[in-house]
Amino acid sequence: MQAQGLKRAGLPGDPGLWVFILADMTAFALFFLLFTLGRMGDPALFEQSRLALDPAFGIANTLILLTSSWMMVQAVEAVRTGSRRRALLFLVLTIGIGLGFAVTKIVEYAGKIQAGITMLTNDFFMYYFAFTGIHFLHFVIGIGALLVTLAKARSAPMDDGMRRWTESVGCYWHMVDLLWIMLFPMLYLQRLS
Amino acid sequence: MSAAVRHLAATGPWALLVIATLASGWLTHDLTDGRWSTALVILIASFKIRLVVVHFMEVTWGPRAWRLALEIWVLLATAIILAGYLLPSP
Repeated sequence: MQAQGLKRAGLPGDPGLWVFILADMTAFALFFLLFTLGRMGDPALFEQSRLALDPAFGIANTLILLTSSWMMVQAVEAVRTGSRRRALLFLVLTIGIGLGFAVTKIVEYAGKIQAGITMLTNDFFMYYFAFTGIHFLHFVIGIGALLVTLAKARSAPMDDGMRRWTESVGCYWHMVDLLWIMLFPMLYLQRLS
Repeated sequence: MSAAVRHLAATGPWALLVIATLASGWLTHDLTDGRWSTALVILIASFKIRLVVVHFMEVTWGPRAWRLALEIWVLLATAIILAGYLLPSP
């Protein structure tokens, strides 16, 4: 009954997914609080550690996720209008562009580990690796869901079920984007005040 | 809304998101006042999240309670980081 109510009101995707999205975002708000309290406790250490991060990676990753999200909006619209060819094209673009995030993240992690920086280095890097790692896990799940959507879009009927599935995956993918939008300035750009 | 109109409707917010991201990068390099430029960068991030919620996730068309919940999340996340940054350390 609740699902019907949400659908009538026009929220895209599956209502259950929205409960998950809100719960997940709440967990990340708690992460922001933990990091902020840690930073308030030792701002000098957090500033010194932050300077070891390259904001260029953060900017590149933000642009990659934003552009991938934009492609996903087009993919959802293609499924809604029943255009299989456009849906396949934009899903491939969403995944292809999105995978750039994995490349830059792996390069960035490898650079840190080669420089001897790990989760155990200090509190800043504990938060950095934990929060970006959890976010990366979300990203990997998102890529998996997008690959399933791509497989479905090749042969499944472009019906209401397919529309709801694609909208749900799209909203999850936008959440991955949205969380990174706040993680990036929090970790990389907060200069010592 | 036709597919072409919808395509354009998503392109404007995307362009704005890209510009806001580049502006954040510029603010961290070129301004000498780290305190206020950082505060501005966090506010820009908050604005970007609202753009994603409204234009990509399409929460505008959903029930008011869900939009309110997401708006509160954006406000809360921004307030936590901004207050922690601007308030003096204990």
